[in-house]
Amino acid sequence: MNSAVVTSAGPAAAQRHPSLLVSTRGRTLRALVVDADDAARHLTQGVLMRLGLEVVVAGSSDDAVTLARTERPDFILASIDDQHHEGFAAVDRVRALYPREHLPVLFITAGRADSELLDCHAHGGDVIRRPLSEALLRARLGAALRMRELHDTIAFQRDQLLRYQSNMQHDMDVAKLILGNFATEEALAAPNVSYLLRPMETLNGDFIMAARRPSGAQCFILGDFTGHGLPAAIGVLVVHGVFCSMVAKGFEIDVVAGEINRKMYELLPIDRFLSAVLIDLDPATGVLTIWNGGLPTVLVRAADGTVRERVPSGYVPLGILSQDQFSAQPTRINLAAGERVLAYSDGVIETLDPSGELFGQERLEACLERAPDNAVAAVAAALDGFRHGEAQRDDVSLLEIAQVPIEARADAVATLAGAPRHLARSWRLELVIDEAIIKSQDPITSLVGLADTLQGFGAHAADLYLVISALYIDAIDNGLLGLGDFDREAVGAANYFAERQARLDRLGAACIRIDLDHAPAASGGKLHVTVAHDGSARTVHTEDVTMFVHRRFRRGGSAAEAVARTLRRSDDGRSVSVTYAWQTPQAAHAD
Amino acid sequence: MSIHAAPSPDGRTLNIRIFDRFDFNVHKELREAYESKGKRYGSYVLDLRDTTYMDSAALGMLLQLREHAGNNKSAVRLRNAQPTIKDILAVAHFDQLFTID
Repeated sequence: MNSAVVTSAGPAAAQRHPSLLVSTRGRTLRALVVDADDAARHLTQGVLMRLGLEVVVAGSSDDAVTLARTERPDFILASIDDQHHEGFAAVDRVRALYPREHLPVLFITAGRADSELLDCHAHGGDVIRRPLSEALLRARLGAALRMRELHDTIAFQRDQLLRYQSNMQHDMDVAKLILGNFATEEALAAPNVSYLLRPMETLNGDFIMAARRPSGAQCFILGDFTGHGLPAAIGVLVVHGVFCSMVAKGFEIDVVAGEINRKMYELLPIDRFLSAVLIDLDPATGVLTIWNGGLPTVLVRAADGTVRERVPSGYVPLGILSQDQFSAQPTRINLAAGERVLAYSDGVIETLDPSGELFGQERLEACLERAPDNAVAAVAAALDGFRHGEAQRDDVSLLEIAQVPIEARADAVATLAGAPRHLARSWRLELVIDEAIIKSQDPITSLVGLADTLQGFGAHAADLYLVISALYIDAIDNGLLGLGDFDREAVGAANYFAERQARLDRLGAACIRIDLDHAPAASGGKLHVTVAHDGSARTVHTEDVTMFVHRRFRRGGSAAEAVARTLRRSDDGRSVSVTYAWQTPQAAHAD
Repeated sequence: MSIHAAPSPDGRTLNIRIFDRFDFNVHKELREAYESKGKRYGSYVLDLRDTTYMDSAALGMLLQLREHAGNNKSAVRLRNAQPTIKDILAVAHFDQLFTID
């Protein structure tokens, strides 16, 4: 009688269900018997005890509720043979105590009426008739308990899933908070920029970042990672680090694209990549530079809203090709005042209407023509109308940047707030490079970086970059490539850069020497910059350097002019020197 | 079954057909199709005639297959792609990485 293994189906079934009548909750099964009739109750109790169960008994529904609280039965056997159907009341009240649990119930009756059977099922229990057959009772209990076991398993898994989901959501929210900080960056909040990021989930695969180069040019990246969620978010962090630091150091966007490609290729698995558009707009000159690898065609719009140029994807997305296979030749376009450039993710043109039709490029361009000024809002509204209640299936993102003439820009005049980090020191740097480096790299960024490490120029570093760049570019363009007779204003920036690239590709043996010589001076320091080349000896005009630096400075012409006044030529104009004098802000103020 | 894979009669090529949607849901099935027999084929042919949709996760899966095949442009051929699928492959310039017929 103390055997825990009881089945009605023989040893084979017993082996399959060895714990049929043992509680999965780790103790002997406990039955609650509810019967108003003392003799009948004893009979039922006896049968259950022979099956090896613990039994508690109640003569009324009140007793049943009290016992259920203290004894926590695993199932109920309730008689409904009494006048008041105490069994129904007992079962309903006990169940109400534990609404989340599955409590199996067997109603016992001597009756034979179908209506009685239906009542039992309505109260959520099975029925067993008197006289009680031990074998039948065993079978019924077994079935009821298997059901409860299933319920317990499902409830356990449900709770576990809810826990996982809650933890996951928490992680996602934290990641979103971190990624959200990108959008509040100053460069993306510029008045000539509008954008929309509409993710599918908490974390999106699409992102937009912005940063400024020392020259004042605005740089952007709109990217679409494979997949969504945390893996994409990790990728976004990698890109953010590379993009912001390289742009701030003055690298061109094709170099930045190459570095993002290298990082992603090395760090992320092969099936994760980044389709991206990089954009550089120099508000001083209106020169727009675009690199598109794997995103839909970037649109350049005239002031009246019509599309005047298209820059389709020209490259494999980032993170797929190894560095030696990767190449990036950006497209250059001249933007007039009021013209703008629009980049977007494929979620825009792949938006579906209820019949499964794509929004497509044509609808997008038609929508843009109707909205010369407010493209981002207009496209967002058009997409909502087109979906017509259909769910969004991919991240949707849009970025538009307008060319605003420099005078109209509120943030165009920057102040020289950052003071040099150390007292003036004495040092000298000399860099000699040949045509291989001239063709492939921008050494000025690294050189100024090194000078800044030695002296700690603070805000002056950006000015130095401009001055040295001006002389360096002049040495290449005029000195080595003979572009001095090529009128940039007349031919347009795009043609100019194309001609420049062609001549650069043909350039034979050449050499440029850059010499930086720094010494302390009254209340600050003096940096002598010399740039010399071995080309066809074209003279740099003082005005050219003033113009160049002036156009790029946008801080009033005095700094540029002061630098230009010191300009000295030697070696038939192949060597040019200027002196950049700096003062601590206190000393400048005292003047 | 959204994928059917069978070796060619000479046993050098694994022919794979992808039905309906080619997205993350077929990731496991596709991987098992080309990894299961522990055998590396000389080339892999993906027949996309019955493929109606393809997302960037699918492009990622193609890159995994390409790596499995030895990162060689001629080792993975993509065939019979419908125009919309062809567009997706063109925007990503996958013709530089795969042989697309």
